[in-house]
Amino acid sequence: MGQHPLDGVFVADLAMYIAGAYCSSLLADLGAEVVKVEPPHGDPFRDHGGAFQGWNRGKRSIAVDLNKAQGRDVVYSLVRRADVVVENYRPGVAHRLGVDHETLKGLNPRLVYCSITGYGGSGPYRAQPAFDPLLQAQSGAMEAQGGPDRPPVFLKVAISDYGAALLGAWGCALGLYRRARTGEGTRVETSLLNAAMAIQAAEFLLYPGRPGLGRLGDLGTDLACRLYHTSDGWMALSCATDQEWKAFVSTLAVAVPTETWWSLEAARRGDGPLGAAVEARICQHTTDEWTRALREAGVPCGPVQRSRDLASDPQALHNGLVVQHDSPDLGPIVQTGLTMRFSNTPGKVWGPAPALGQHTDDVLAELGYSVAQVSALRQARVVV
Amino acid sequence: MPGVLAGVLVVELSQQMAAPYICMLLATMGARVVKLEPPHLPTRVQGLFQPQHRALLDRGKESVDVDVTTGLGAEVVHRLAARADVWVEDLLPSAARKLQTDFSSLAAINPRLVYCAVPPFGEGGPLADVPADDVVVAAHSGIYGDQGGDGGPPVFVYLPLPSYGAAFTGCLAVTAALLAREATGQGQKVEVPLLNGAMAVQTGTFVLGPRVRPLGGGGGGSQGRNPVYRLYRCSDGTWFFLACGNSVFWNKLCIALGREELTADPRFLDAPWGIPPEHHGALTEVLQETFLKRPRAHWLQLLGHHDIPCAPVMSRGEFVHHPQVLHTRMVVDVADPLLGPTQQMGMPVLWHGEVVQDPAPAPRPDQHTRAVLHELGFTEAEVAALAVGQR
Repeated sequence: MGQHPLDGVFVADLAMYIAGAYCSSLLADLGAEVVKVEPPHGDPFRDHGGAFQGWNRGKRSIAVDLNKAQGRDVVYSLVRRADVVVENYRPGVAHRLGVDHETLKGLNPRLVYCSITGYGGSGPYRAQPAFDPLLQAQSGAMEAQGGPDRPPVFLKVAISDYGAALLGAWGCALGLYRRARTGEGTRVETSLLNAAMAIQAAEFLLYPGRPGLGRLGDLGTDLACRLYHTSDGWMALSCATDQEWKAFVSTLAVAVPTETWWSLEAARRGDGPLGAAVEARICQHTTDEWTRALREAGVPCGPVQRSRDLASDPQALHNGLVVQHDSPDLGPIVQTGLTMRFSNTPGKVWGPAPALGQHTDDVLAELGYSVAQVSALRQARVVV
Repeated sequence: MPGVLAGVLVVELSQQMAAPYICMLLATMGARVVKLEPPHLPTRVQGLFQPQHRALLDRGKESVDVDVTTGLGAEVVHRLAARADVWVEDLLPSAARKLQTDFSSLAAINPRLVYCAVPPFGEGGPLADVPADDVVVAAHSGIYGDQGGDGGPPVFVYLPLPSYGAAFTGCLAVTAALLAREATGQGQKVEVPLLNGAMAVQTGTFVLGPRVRPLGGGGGGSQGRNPVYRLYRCSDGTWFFLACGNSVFWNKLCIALGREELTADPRFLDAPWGIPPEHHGALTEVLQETFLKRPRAHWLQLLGHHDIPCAPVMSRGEFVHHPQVLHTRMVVDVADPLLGPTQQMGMPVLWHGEVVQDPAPAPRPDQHTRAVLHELGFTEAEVAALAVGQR
């Protein structure tokens, strides 16, 4: 086992909220050393308690007042050492705080500077405040989830935030790859708007006469692709071939009205008499019983769980998706492990999200500040 | 500027959706993608993945249609693997081993190969070879259960989120492995199962502990739970989302609506996030009653004037005409050989100052078989043999 993919990469993380914060956390997973630079009152999403842990794992935190010249100097020292800067200010704010791309590039021409905005760096909406649900609303996700003639639905997965975090981290990796080959720094951008489309990319393929998805209300698209109530919970079924659908119906041992019902096409046409028969039959056994029998028959299906059930899920544990931390703010917690597995360069779970300013002293010492200087900065409320 | 991945050869062997999307995104950065489309390995078309999606998912790729189970087909795999930088595959691990397109088989041919596996549940573990797709994994990972919330039935989410999560994570992992190869000279295997993709988009929710107030808890609340961070209906039957994400916006809202007394109401003192759940209903009712009095245009103008975050609920068809989407060229026109004129997503990740180019359309199946086989050094007779019995 060798080094991590981003071993030796130093990230100055100026981001807050979700998209930018989680972007940097993903870089930490790949082995980068990430210092989160927070304002003295902290990242506003520290209010979200547990969730903040999920978006800021594996970082160190320093609290610096960027409105003060000496605070800016601290950040400039960081940037001179940094390989990557991640920021998600509203356009214009980075410039006001003196941490825009032009300025930082002057300090460190090899810098990969990643901007994650709401709507993009230019254009008529650039200065609008952006939160995930606003992009969910505008990009059609809420309307599509609600369905025709029904109220829109707020998706609990923050699709544009998570999409932008992942795409931003990819952009940073691309920037580092480019730098490894050319020696040049670069600036890479993504936005909640771009992510809202990218996480619905197939749904955004528009052309005249595009067929719509089937729809059984909140349960799924058709008999072959939906959630079914069992005797003790819920099960998901997703047949993609005649063979799988036939294996499903056979395993259920329900009476099929005519031979035409053996085809996936029939399952997609409607729920007719077969739908009621299938629902009634599935209610007779537990999720576990059906899942075993159907999987044995080669039918794609499985239990409907809650995310919290993954903490003890054998597959999630096998994949390394569950880790335990002792959070300085919340005590013992369980949270998501590495979502990528590498055979040679493993990546790293550094530890929990930091407390506000937990590493101010350590990081400033590494940057060459003496104990007396740090204490003077603290007294002047430049750092916390 | 030439694409950052120019010169990188990617080979794709896929049945589902995440792997093709990874390769399509790599192609937007300049990689050359050869998609193997063996006739006996049809795309798994399920409820959320329609065959027409290839117009988007395969754009800019080359399509090669050979039967990889024959001896000569295996030779095609061998020669492609020898030249490739990246191999992306989403078969069940047992199926990949049977085809000898698994990591160990291909790494033996090319130790510099970055092999990206995107199985449903995992390359190992109890569910490795269980038949599954996006829907089964979404159910397993909690996406449907959490959307339903405590005490309610699960809700089917119509976006294939595990696939999208795995696709973006896969791009990151592949690029990180290419970067590591610059330093080590070695390829490796990277695994990004759909299950991992599902967890990658739930990291804020999946945090548990005795002192953690779970984000995924609480009731269903299809239109949102927090009264100042939810959907509201207007007098014209349209909807908008109100997003007062902090106390400043809450105070502005009360002023904008002429309801300053609400800021002093003891029930709402800790707005927005600290309003006790038992008072959510009361405030929601007050606000819904207000917004039902006028059409949406009125409210969007008023709230916008006070710098209060809000946005109309739009359809995808409307969004492609949004001024900011047009400005950023996030929608491009692509003439697909099978579907005709289409509108598709543009470039989600941009280099500073870059002008978005229109992407090349998806290939017709089999379109590049002959050209690629010739390039791999097969003779005319071999090419003819490989093409026997094909589309």
